Amino acid sequence: MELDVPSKFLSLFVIVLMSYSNNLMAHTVSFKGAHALNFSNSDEMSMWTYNYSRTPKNSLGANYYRFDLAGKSERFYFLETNFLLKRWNELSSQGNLYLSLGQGVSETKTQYHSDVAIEADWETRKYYTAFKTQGILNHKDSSKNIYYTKYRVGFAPYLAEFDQINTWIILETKYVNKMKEEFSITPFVRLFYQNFLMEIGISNKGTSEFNFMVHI
Amino acid sequence: MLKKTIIMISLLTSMSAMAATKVNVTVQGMVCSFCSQGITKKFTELGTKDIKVDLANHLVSFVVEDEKKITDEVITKALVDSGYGVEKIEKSN
Repeated sequence: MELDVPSKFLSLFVIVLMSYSNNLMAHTVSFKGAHALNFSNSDEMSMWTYNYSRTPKNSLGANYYRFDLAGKSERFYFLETNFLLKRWNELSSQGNLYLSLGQGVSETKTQYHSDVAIEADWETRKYYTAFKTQGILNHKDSSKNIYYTKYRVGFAPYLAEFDQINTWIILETKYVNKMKEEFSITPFVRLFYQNFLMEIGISNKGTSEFNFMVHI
Repeated sequence: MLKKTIIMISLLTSMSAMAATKVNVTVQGMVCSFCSQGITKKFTELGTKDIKVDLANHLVSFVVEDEKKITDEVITKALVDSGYGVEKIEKSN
């Protein structure tokens, strides 16, 4: 992809900032041939994902997760395949249902894990809602499984055109078992322009949240 | 001689312009500009020109030089590969 000068600076800016980002809901399957990068990082969690959409219904990817659970940091590395199970394309809306399956290892003790996730979303130009539930499953000890559920609802205060900066206000609720505080609520401001997307929020725990995504 | 040359050039230019076809496609599911970036990429790869995306009216429009190469099936496949559906395709010269 040929980037103009402003886009090159924007890319460098967001690469620097990606270390401060947290918990974006990824586009697990994008347009055919697309590469998607998603970065999230905060005191509690990191989720870095890369996906390549080999078809409009399937992508392959690699994920890195970090969870700080009860004062102990757990890191995981996965190879994933993602499926678009169903899409509903209407004139003024789109709904999606995705399934993600991965196999990987934890960094400590090198234990094998499976990563299973279901995601669904529906949006118009004005409203958006999304749901994700995920399990990081320990092959040997199910008491160490990590369960993660997130729900989002949002609206666009104005309708932007294709070549304009889009703004969304989004409210997210999240649950992660084994966290010191399992539930959190985070309002976000989402901005996107061309193939760059970022979100900024502060949770009810007082943690800052910054998310970034790019499609190439 | 110069006059004949100018007339010849004007004639050739107008013939070229007449061969171009303007295509308007009404697209289903196109509600997000971030997700729609694949559309411009796909149609650029096909060699179409003046690609415009109008989210308010659910339209993708572009100019095609060779209509025989960019058929309705090719247009539909490009949009399906981008993740969308096709409501209708309209062409004009």
